[in-house]
Amino acid sequence: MRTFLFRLSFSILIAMACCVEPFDIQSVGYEDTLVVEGFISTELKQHRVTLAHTSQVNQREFIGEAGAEVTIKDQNGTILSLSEEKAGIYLTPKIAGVIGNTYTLNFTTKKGKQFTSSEVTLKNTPAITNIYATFSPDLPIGEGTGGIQIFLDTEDATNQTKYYRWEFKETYEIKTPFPSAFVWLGGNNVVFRDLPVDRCWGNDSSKNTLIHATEGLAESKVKAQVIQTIPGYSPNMRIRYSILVRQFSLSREAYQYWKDLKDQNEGQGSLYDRQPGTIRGNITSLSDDQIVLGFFDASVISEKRVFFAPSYFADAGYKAPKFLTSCENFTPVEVLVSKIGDYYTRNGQGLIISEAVGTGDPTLFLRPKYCCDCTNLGSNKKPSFWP
Amino acid sequence: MKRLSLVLILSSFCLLAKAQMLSIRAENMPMKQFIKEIEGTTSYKFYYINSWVDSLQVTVSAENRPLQEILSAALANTKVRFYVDDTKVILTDNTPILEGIEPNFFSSGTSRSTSDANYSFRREYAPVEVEKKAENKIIEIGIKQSTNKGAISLVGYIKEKKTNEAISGALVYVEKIAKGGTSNAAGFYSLSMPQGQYTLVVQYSGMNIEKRNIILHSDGKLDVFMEEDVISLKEVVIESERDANTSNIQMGKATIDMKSIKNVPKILGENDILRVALSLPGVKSVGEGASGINVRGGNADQNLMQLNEATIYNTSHFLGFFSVFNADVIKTSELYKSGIPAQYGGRLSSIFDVQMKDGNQNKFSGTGGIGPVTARLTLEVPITKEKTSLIVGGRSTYSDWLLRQIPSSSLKNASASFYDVAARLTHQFTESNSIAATYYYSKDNFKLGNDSIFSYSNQLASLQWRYSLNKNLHSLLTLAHSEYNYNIDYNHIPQNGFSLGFGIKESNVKWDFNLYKGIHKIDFGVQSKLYDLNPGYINPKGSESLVKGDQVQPERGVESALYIADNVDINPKLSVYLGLRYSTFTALGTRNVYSYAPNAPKDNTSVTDSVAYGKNQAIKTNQGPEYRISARYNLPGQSSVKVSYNRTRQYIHMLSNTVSVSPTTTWKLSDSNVMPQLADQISLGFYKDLANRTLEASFEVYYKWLDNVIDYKTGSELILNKHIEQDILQGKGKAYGAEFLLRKRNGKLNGWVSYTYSRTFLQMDSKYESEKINNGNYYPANYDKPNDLSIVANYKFTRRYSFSMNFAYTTGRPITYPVGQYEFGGGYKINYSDRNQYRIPDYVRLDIGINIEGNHKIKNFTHSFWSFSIYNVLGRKNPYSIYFKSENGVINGYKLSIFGAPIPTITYNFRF
Repeated sequence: MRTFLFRLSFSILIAMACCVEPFDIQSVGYEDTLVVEGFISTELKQHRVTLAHTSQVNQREFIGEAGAEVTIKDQNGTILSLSEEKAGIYLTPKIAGVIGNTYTLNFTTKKGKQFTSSEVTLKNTPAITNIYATFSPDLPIGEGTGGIQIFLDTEDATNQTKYYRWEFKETYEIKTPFPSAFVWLGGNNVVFRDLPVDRCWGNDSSKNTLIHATEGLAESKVKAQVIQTIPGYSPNMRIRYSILVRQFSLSREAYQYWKDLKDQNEGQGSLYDRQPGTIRGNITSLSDDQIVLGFFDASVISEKRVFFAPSYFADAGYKAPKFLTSCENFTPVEVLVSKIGDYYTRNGQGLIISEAVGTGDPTLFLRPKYCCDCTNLGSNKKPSFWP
Repeated sequence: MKRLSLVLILSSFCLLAKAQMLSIRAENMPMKQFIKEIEGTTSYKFYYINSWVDSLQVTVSAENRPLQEILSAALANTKVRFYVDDTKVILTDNTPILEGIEPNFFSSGTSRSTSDANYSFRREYAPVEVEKKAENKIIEIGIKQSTNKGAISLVGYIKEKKTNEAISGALVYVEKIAKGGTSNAAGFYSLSMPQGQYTLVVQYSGMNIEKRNIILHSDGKLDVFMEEDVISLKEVVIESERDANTSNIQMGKATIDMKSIKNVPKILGENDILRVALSLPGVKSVGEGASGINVRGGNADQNLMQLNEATIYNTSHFLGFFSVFNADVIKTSELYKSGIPAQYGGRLSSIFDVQMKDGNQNKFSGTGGIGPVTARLTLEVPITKEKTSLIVGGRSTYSDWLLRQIPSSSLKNASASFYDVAARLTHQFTESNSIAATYYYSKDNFKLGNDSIFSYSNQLASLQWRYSLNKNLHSLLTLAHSEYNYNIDYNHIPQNGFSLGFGIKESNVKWDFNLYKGIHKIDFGVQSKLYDLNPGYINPKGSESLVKGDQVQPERGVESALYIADNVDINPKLSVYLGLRYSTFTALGTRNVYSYAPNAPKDNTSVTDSVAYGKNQAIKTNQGPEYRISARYNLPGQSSVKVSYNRTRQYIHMLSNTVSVSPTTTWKLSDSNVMPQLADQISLGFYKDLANRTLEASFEVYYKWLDNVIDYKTGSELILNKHIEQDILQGKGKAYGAEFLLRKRNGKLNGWVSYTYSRTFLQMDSKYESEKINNGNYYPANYDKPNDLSIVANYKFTRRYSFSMNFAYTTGRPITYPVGQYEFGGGYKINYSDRNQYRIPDYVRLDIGINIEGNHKIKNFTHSFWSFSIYNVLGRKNPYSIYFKSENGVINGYKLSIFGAPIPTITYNFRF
């Protein structure tokens, strides 16, 4: 519904010679508010609760609330005490949550103010049925290059889960076109690298809120939920790409919270924006009527990892983009090994050695760092799950 | 010499005169009827000009007397003279027919022409002149013998000479005693004053001023026909009632005159009455292209927008860029901001009463035009002369020109179109008995890609019967029906394909009476409205759709009102309007209604019961009196002071939690969980006409208390919400302001300047945290824009070329601004301030326009003119909104502006 309104007003706006310009967010007033984020799953691990303060709109920083006493209580009255890992980050002992158990978060800040969450039930989450992707050449996102959409299907045969949320971590392989085999160690000292820097793995994670409700549908079935969209020009799909999707089930209350969060943070900019405002989660102050942001929740996390390669989309007309064309067009600077120290002294270390030709006093070919060494784009340690 | 010979011929006829005896008894009998009776019983035939006798009433009683004697008695104290020539009776207007030549005829030479009193039939030889010089005549009204020392009432109709169309809102004014009134929708006026000689002035913008010299003896009737002033057509005049500024008791009223709005620079080729309304003091909108207006701190749903008494629920085409009113078919639009007459009710802030034109009763005619987006044509068809006429007008977008300008591929298959048609058939049985039928339909369609269609439509019909029981008691019976629907078909993702919609139907019966009795003008009547609401439905669309069909329970309610109001001219200085309206609203079944625990916030956990009501079973009745009181006191020096107090109640509420009214707005009827809204307004104004009434100034202040106004919990979803009361908050509001208007109506340079300072605050307080906004404190409403300046000016270089401009400045509207950010769920999120604590930058816009008229020869078959206009000539990117987004985990701010560049338009208009 909101999507529809958004598209509608978007077309009207363009028609009306409208324009959207960046607007410098000035900090016109800062209100220090406490933010709580906590989650318990059935994984056996130290579960985390974060207590932090909001920062100024134009100045991002983590302001942890240190020295609080944090506990989690289950329906049997068992109390878990959390330990402070570092300022604002609190960890439970290593435990696994139990489906159907209820948990309540309580904490007292250093100043003696008491807060509590509502009681949350650890909900089961159905498994992810399928993750797949398609390439559409006319997807409006890719500035003419189309885009790849990654979809998810899931269903709850018991019809109990009506609200879903997803997070993902994506990993993509990077190969540099002119790998650097040598490294300069000062003076005219050039040696072979110990670890190759031509193959790396970049990482990214979901930033936006991904949620869906099946309450208006006949069955609790999610079909073709878009999880991620990769523009056609993006280098992430160039070699091989992997996505790990984590699926959470939500209560009605939690869904409403995430939906409000999404609307306000991602859904603005149409002609028909809803009034933004403070989004209250399930944490309240027991000491006064101070507003607390954030949510404490519990559920099973279902995970699924899939891999895609460019060939997967070849039939749909997808062509993997080239690595930065500026690398191919760059004429390498040729320097003899005996002159390399002088060269770096004169010109600085903007270019690095991609290859060496000849014997005795070989000629070094220098190119921009990003064409030869991928470690600034990712890690050259192969992830354990990578085939 | 011609004159002389005529007199001679006449004298010779006299010799043949023969007397017939007759009996007659007449008491206050209209002269025409008196003549008819004599003609019916004798062989006498009367010759006269209608206007000499139509205001005359005679009283005479005679048995077997000669005609001369009877006529002498009947006409004794009037200006009408008679002359009997055999069986011909010639009546003259204060001009005795002389037998023989006046003794000093030859001796006085050229000086004779100064008086036309002595020469008979002079006017009959120049009949055109007779009409023209109606102003110079002295018209006697009533019976001269009358010794009524009290107030005498003069009534009549004001009509357009060419089309015979009633002119409503014309000012009928007697300067000498500073007394005036305006004609009602039937063109009827009534004035009361003592016996005496007066000059009656009738004014209506776009018409030549008419003056009548009258001698008022007793109650009588005088109709005035007005002619279009061809030249003044070009003027920008928006309030038709010229002297009404000071003399009319009504305050807080603006009349937007359709004949003259054409010179306000237009946008995309359309004359838009709502846009003109926005340049008046006290009228605002949330932003450019926002549908709905905010009047004196009222929400957009607090205005009753009606076309010939049928409510219009969505007044905008193209989501707010055009109004649904086609200026070519509209006669008047009147906006009441305060001192709302008792005959209107149902909405808190204002009444926007739009009346369609009647078709030309005498001549087939038409108007039309073509602009960059729309084309329009209106035809006026006389069916039977001076009795029945039809007007039909339509507008349509003729191309997707606008959307075609967009290079973006995502909009390749987008299209937007609208059309509207309006028709009105009027039939006049007699002057005091007429009916009119009005029909209106508008439709908007938006297609996005091949998968989504959004459409909405308004449909209205009304039937009005106007009947005067006698010259003092008039009635208007209205039956009206209106419907508004929207529907969205969405099929972008086949699994989620749906068809969603909303609909409302309103049927209205209203019977209004006006009673003129001496110094009293009493209005009374009764009204009843039946609402049928389909608050929302959703159905799966397409075979793959997993959407489950759903429906919010239909709502029904009946709103009724009785009213009575007396407008008393206590003395020439003081006029008082005392009105009372009593309204009642009952929500009816079939419906299940939740009951909530009294000591808990309304949510799912506090539901105590669900009560099932059967068909038409009363769920809840709300009612109460609405006081409507105004007074005017004339001060020396063409100035006056007016004061008013009015209370209004509103039982139907628009639900929209977006800043600007969204196209998917729904409505809700009051019931046991949603209280009716209530407003009390006091208003005080000072009015002065300056520079020989060419400049009008007014200054009004008001204070308004609002109760049970609606706002929403943050993030509430209103569409398909089955228990909307859980998301609605009802609280208090206060609005106050000062409005200043200076207007020059005529001359080469004309226009107006309006300035408003106003504030509007709402307060949503509750015992419960979840039902509070801003911790229960007052906060500015979305449309709280304190400073508002408008300048509309028109300069006529020559009769054919004129230049117009429109300047607007307003304070930026309030917004809720980020006051912090925090990391949550993997990205950075915004923490917002309390509601509406900051403002977007101010709004400044200048539009210019040039009108080039064809020549002014009246006999031309078509008259045409070109309009060139540039909207937002400064190209200022006025912010419509400032918004913030979390993108890839980072918070970015954006400014969105509509019409961020100058928009030129050329329009060709014609009429024939």
